Amino acid sequence: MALTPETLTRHELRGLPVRVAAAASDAHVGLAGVVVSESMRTLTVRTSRGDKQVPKEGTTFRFVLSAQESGDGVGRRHTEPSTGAPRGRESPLDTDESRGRESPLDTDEAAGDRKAPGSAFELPSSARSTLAGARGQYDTTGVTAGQSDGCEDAVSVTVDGARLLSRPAFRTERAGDH
Amino acid sequence: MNDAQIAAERIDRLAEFAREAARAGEEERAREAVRLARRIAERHRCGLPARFDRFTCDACDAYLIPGRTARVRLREGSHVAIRCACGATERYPYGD
Ligand SMILES: [Zn+2]
Repeated sequence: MALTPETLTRHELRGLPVRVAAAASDAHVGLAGVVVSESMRTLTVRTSRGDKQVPKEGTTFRFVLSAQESGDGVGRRHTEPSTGAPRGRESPLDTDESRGRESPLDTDEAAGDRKAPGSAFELPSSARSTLAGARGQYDTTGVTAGQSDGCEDAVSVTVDGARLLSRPAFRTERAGDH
Repeated sequence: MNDAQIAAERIDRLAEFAREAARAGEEERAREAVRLARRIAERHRCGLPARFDRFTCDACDAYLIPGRTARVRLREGSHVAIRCACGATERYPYGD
């Protein structure tokens, strides 16, 4: 259970690594970092170049969920003591520098700074696809070769920002929106 | 998964986020997360974890770091007193 691709739009986004896959404004495309704040119509992303406030409407976000997050959540608090940490300036959130490249693996670097690198994989759906449309394909999580204690797989989830339009406190209650 | 479960998990995540933010010196980000967690608990009528309650200031919503943004004093035989940097004091009985 826990934070799965299915529950993501109703779950807490703060602390999740994210990349802006598509946006109405060119200035926002390619931004990558960690979500540090949310309002009804925007997400604030901490990038290596400061905090950027991105409108939800018209933007496609790609979130990265680690295996523990998308797993059953057991022991989450023990295995991920620093989940949700807003990063300081020394944070290696340099995915920004890969701006322009659209490989989903770039996003992985954002996850990689939290734990050992895993492998994010591209969902075989268009960037505009909704979670419901892609449901059922998440089980084929990319598994890293030579998986060890610090090594984990990660899932990248593409979400149309329009589906996140809600006051943060009410978002969990929007069960009927898909 | 039902809403109540997600709400509880969101609160856990927000508590964790607030703690890390407070440690990093980003007190307003921490407050924002604390306020949101409280609001979610209210909306879903699920209450807050005792730990969350103890480590946040009722008056200013700060996430408290004992020794840095909060003073903790043990009152013999009765309670723990926690004073936030904002000046508000909370008291919690032992064994609670
Ligand atoms: Zn206070």
